[in-house]
Amino acid sequence: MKETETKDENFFQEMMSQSKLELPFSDFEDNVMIQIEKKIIQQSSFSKDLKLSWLFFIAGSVFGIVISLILPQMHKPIFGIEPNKLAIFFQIVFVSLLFAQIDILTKFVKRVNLWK
Amino acid sequence: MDDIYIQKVLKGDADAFRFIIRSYKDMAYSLAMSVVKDEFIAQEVLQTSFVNAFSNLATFKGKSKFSTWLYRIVINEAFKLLKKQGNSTIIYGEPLVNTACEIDDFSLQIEVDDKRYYINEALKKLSPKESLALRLFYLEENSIEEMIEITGWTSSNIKVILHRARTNMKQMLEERFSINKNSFNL
Repeated sequence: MKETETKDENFFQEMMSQSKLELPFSDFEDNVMIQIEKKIIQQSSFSKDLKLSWLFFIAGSVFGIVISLILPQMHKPIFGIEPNKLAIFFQIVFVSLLFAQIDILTKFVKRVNLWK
Repeated sequence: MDDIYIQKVLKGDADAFRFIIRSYKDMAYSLAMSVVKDEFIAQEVLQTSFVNAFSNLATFKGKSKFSTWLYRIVINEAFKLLKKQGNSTIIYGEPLVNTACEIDDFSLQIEVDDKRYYINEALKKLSPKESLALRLFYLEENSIEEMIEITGWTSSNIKVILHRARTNMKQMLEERFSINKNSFNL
């Protein structure tokens, strides 16, 4: 019984040693390297875009906060609108934009991480 | 040797990845072919797998062999593609077509290339899991533990698949071609 098993094992070992296939595409290596190079370029451009996104997000947020603080302190109407009313309108728009941008940035960061 | 090139790639030398492609492409292709059974789809699987391996190389911690890590990517990609295609184009278990030579001639003398051809044709007719198990176990000489790591199957599952694969393969070669073990000069 054991002898038969060993024979079988040897048979399969010997037979399967001939089952290795050779990749029949000679340009395969170059194709993969081209794809890898494309990916590297894409990655670095994503990283640059992400840095710029953070920069503008922070700059926009700071600018928005400063305007939100300055507007209520003004006494003269701006374009015929009371500064207080304008400040409330601005704050609503600012907060909405801030949350929308946070959502977009989070998705972008996830996408960049996926590429990495 | 792999470690040196992996470190080079991680340090930014993307060209060092060529060594990895060259070293593993044939075995990876054999494994992909076990699953998808079509050389063009296998090539697609390999391209995606090598690009993914490059992108995720930093996650390879060296706890297992690099080949184990790479083949897992290849096999996952192959099964993913097979699932996407819905197994519709591939029919397993079809009889092997006896092409050029007569059975008797075949039994008497099989040249190395012919042997290789018929063995691979028989493997094509096996189910993806069976031919994959045979190649991993006998060709790549992976242990059951390594096979668990590569395929994600359980130990008992692997043993069952291997047993079934051996039986089907033997049956296919012996019955379809009237081959006995001796005709293979083994």
